[in-house]
Amino acid sequence: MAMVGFLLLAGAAIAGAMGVVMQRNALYGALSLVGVFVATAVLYLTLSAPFLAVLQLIVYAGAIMVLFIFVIMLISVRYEESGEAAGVPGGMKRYVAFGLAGLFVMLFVVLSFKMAATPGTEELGGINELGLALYQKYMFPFEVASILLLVAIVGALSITRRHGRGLEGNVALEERH
Amino acid sequence: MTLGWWIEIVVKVALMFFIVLTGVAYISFAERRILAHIQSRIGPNRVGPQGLLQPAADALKLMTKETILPEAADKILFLFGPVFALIPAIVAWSVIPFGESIRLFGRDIALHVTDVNVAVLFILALSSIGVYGIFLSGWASNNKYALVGGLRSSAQMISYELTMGLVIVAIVMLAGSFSLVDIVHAQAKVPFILYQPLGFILFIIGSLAEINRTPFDLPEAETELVAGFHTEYSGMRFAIFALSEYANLMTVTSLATLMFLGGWLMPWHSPAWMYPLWFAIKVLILIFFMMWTRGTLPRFRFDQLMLFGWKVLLPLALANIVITGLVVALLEHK
Repeated sequence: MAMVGFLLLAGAAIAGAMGVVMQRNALYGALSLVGVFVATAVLYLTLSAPFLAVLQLIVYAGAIMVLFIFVIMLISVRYEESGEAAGVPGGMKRYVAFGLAGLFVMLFVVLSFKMAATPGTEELGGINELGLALYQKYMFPFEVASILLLVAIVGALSITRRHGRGLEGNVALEERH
Repeated sequence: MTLGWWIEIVVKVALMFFIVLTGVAYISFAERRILAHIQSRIGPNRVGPQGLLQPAADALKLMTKETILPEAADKILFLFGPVFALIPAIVAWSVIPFGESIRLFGRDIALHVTDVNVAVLFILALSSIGVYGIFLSGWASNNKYALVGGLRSSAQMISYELTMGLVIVAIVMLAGSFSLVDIVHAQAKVPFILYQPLGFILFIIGSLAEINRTPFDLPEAETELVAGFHTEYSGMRFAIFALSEYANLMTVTSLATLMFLGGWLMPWHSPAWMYPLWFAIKVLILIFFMMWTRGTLPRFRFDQLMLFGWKVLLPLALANIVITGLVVALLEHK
């Protein structure tokens, strides 16, 4: 039972990962990535780490990928613009089907939480253990990582800002508000 | 996993489907009647006594309508979009408890499909996946109004979900658990609304935005976007959006009841079979409040919505966490 579940989930994750690389349509690629995250989340669930699984869904599928797809939709990249003919690649439907299969497998497994639990691994994914490890044992690396991310954000902002219009442009923007 | 366990689960899931779908049908009917009264109209009162069979008539009509597939739409996503919206909305109900366990046919039947120890986060995760349904449908329609509606909904949901998540952090600090059953038990003496009045207000505002209701119904603002993300939809696929929207309304109000109003517990003692009744009454009061809001408030402008979310609600929610954390820590050390 556990093996079948693992093979299904792993298959869905791999199919999704292939979809990310092979899709011509950027939006379908991003959706395949969502499929990968969902399949991984369910894998965590079968390993008795429900907290990690839910965080995976909230952070990756729910926030980061929404942002990705937001950008894709905003600049509306479609396969027509990648220099290819407008035809739909034959394999596409298959990948989407795989992604959907992953989603449904997730829902099935979620509904049978108790069934999938493997005893003895609770200390790996429990909320208390995770919190204590993050905020006491690994406090320093955790904070360093968050500052690193902050630096990356500031760096990305300063790189993308147009030169020459630098400060004055921003001041003008603020005055308009 | 005996046969009895399987039967129990199947019956519970079927019952939950029934409760959610009838609930959705009659809440939408109630909303039409209540809004009509607020606006000095009568509302649907022709089908059956007091119009009570109206939802059935609506369902019949919508199911027999043609599904129109726009020429330029992305076929697969256009057809699957509503499904993505509906599934998370219904699955969320698998972790919502109605009361203590009841003894029936010689078995202790817990009044929820499954008690997950991260139930609150699970619902939050599902609601953030529900966004996909809306903005993929908007994008797949290949229509500028639908696209703008979809984009707005994703921006809005990301912003307001953050506030809701932070409010939940404070609740979890008080209860010491992510399980909804434990959170209700932690309110046996005092419901958390008395400890967390600010949190309650923030949660209600955040959930109004999360489920796209007035004054935050910008994704489908009729006067500027025709119907927003579901402009191109017809028939049953259109109905599915309404269905998931009302299912989400029931979910967030239930969540607010469980986290702030003491769930099925009342200040006085009552037998266990009354618990689901108390729970339903509290949820219905909150739902009525949301309908009342819809009949009263005008819609935000989009920039106001963003400023309000990020510059008012988010700092308040953060302050709420800091204060709650301080008080909890001080009380523990005393």
